[in-house]
Amino acid sequence: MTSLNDEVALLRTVPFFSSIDSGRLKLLAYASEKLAFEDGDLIFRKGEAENDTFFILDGAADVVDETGGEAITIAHLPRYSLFGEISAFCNVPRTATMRASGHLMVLRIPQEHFIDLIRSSPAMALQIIRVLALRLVDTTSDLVAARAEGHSVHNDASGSA
Amino acid sequence: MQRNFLKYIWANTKPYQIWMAVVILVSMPFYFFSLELPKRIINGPIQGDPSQVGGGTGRYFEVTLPFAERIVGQPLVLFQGFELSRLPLLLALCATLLVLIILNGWFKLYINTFKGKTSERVLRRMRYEMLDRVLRFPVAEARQVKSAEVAGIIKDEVEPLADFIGESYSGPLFLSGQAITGLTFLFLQNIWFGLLTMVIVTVQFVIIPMLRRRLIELGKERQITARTMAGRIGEILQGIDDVHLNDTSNYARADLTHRLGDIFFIRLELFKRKYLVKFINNLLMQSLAILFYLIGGYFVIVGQLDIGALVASIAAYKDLPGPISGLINWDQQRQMAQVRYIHAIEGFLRDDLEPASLQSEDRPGRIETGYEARQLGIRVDGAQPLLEGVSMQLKRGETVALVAKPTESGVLLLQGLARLVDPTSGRIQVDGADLRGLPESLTGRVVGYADSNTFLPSGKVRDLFVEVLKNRPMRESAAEPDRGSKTAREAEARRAGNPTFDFLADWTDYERVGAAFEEDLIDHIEAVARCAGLYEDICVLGINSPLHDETGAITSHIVEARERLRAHFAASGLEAYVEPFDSHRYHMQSTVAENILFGMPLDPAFDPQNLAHNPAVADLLAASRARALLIELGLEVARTFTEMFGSDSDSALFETVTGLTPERIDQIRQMLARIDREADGAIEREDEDELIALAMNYVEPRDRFGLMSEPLQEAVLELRRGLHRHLESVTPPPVAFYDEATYSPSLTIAENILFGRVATNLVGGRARITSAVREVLKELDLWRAVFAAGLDFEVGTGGKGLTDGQRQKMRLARALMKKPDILILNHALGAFPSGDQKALLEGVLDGARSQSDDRPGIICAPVDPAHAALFERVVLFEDGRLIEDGAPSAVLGRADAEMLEKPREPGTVAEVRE
Repeated sequence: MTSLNDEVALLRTVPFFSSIDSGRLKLLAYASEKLAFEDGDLIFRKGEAENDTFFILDGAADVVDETGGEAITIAHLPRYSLFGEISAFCNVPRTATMRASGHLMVLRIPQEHFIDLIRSSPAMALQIIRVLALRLVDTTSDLVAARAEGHSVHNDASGSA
Repeated sequence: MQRNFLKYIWANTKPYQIWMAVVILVSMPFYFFSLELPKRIINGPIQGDPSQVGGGTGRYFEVTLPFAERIVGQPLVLFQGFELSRLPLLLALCATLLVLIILNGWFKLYINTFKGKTSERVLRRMRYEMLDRVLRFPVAEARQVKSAEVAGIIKDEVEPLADFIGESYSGPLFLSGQAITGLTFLFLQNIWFGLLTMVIVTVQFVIIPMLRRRLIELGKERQITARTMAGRIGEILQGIDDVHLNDTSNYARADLTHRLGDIFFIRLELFKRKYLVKFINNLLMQSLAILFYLIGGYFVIVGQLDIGALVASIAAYKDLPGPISGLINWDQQRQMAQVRYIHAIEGFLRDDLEPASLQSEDRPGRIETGYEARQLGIRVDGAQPLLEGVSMQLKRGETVALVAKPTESGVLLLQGLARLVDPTSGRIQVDGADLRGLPESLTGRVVGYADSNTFLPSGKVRDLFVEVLKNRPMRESAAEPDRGSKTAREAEARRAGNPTFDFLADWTDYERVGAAFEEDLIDHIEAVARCAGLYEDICVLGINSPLHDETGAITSHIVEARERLRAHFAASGLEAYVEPFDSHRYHMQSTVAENILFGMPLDPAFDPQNLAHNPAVADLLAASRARALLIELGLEVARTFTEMFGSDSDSALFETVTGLTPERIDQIRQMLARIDREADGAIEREDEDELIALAMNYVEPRDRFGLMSEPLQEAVLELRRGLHRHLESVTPPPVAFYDEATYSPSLTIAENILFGRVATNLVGGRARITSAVREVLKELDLWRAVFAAGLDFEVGTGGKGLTDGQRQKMRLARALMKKPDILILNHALGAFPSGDQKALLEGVLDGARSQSDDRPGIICAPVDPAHAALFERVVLFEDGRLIEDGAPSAVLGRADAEMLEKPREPGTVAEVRE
């Protein structure tokens, strides 16, 4: 069984949390629940109405889309990634389904504590904004790429007609 | 209800009032003699006859005809009586006086009791009539009523009327009888006394009521103000969310303060006036007493009056203000009671009450063909009609969906079918008869209705199911009520015009749902629960409730169940995920306090959070090495907590995490400072106890401070053994210790079977443990007991112990419970995501289809119009008019897109659930 101090030491090595003072980090670790998942276990499902944030301590998780009836992995989150924060910030149901990829160990941070943490630590807030901004960059470039592809398909189709 | 209170009382208590009058009249002569006797005692044996030696003799029990001298010219002696000498005569007369006093007292006792009884009956009748009327209000109107106000009127406002009811007829009779007797007595003593008293009494009768008129008005104002305040309080409490959301608590305070002020000033004026009247009244009566001494004294001095007569006159006069002011009071009470009465009942005097026959008539039946609406129109409060000229049929056995734009018109139509609103034009027919004329005993038993409402009465889950089958008492109960025998209760109910239904009887109509008796009913409940998607919910409630295992079903299997579960775990590699309770080992998943206790506290002094301050434990600790170790642990916990808390003053988060209030944290911080100041680390006794209390709540896997050392575990086990030895001899036992071989009634069923705690953070592992527990219960055929335990779950006020979704399913289940001929689903199940709604609707539809010979008709306005496709027929409404009616494939294609727009899913930004 890892002790609280070990967890805090681990969190400290993660850039995300490095700017938080040690007392507060300890509180965060203390308030959060450490959960383990086995390969393929669902962490949460799209549409579920709970708002906790997860931080991957060990292992990896997949973002899965099930709209078409079959599950398609649309992204892969490695160790030290944060997920579930959209629901925490916006109070909306889960926007995607998350699934463990291999053995997964996460820290489940209750919504109020997560928000509280950001409020009290501007450096941490900045970190999160950076992560979100990078995701937006990715999404935008994906969108541009998808559009370009769609155009070319369209052009091909008209060309052959 | 009669508007004149005196007439109302007379109409309902005539025989009692007459009997009371008879008793009062009979009591009068005795009262007269009790006035007369003191005079005789003084004039007779006490004064004696001065002309004779030794005072002579006197006559005892001589009866003469009153006024005979004036009528026939000479005294007429009816009975000679006995000749007695002074002392025996004194004794005889005093004894007679004593008897008379006792007799008078007994008459008062009898009359008062009888009055009380009579007024309670009238009060009971009034309250019942009010309740009866409320139950017969048109449903739409009843919803507008402020419930706090109505409850207040029925409970409190009519209560003071009881005082008057008893006095209404007997009061004036008794009082005027007394007054006339007293007055007659005075006239007989001396004509002047009589006349004097008459004058004063007349003055009183004229002046006092004049002064009191304003009192009545004030009383009325006070009543209205108090009532609106009660209504306002109820309103504020109902909207308490808004008060907090909008920071209007101070406005609410001001509102209530203003009303309280109104009441104060009304009462102030009332008091001033009341006591002024009292002052004038007393002055009049007491000043007259002086005249008695003056005039009476004069007559005695001049020898026209004997001293005995004067003393008796003064005594009679002293008694007179009672009856006189009583009479004046009575008149005032009458006026006040009349005002109060009118005020109390006026809210209940409506012309649009449902006829009593609709509810009293017991005419159960079935709906054979179904509903038919003819040119139906419904409007709400004079607004634009939401339904107009609707003609349609709904046959028993078919399933119909309503899709309407605006949705309100669909809602209203279904409310109309369920009799929750009345048509404003046209009519609704059931089997060809107008719905409005059908008794509720028909529609209430064969029409099931569920809407988005989530209200449930309090009680057990089982009661919620069964309540809808309780329409009439079915079987007499052998149980006697706590107060009064059954026959006496029934007779009394009849006297007060109450119905004679026996509440204690068995009301459940088992036959109607094909059950032979109570145990049989659970099959039906289970089927209904499954159909309404509530079965799993109830089982989850059951498995997590403590079971009072009366049948012993689980108790007798507990060892087997635990063994099976262990075997299960061993086979599936789950062993490591559970830490069983073992009396010889420290239980890591429990707090230190729970480890010392190793059982369930039956006495709150042994609750884990109180354990540090428990004297028995403190004694054990003092003699144990655990004390020093726990202090050390507490110190570490305190240091870590203060470190985490840091210097931050925002402590809300910390409080939710550690359960410590900011004040506690401050105390802990100060304590640590105190300890650190001491060079040798000495700790004060009080601080030590504080640290032990902190340590008691430590759980290694949760707190993860790495402080649970081997020696500490050993020391705690020693404490556990010590405590058990200590408590062995105590009766009743304050703690139920965990025992591998017995069922613990204070643990939940799941905890009992598991007999340990989950020791894994592997989410899948937890789920597998839960399902293994379920598996074992099913294997041992105990799942039924789990369901039954769930049925015993108390849902709390308004069903708050269930989630919104569960409550909506429960309302659906209640509709299904009566095996309805027609089932109306009016935007039911809105708390669920669309997919779940669909599954639930399919369940209900399948359930209906499986009843091959006896299929109910289902009419449903689905929350999500897309679900209309599940039904055999779809009816489209636009702007209150029926525009399409046919098979879903044909009709839905023609509906415009806006109509079929999906409603917003629950749980979106706008409506985050509690």
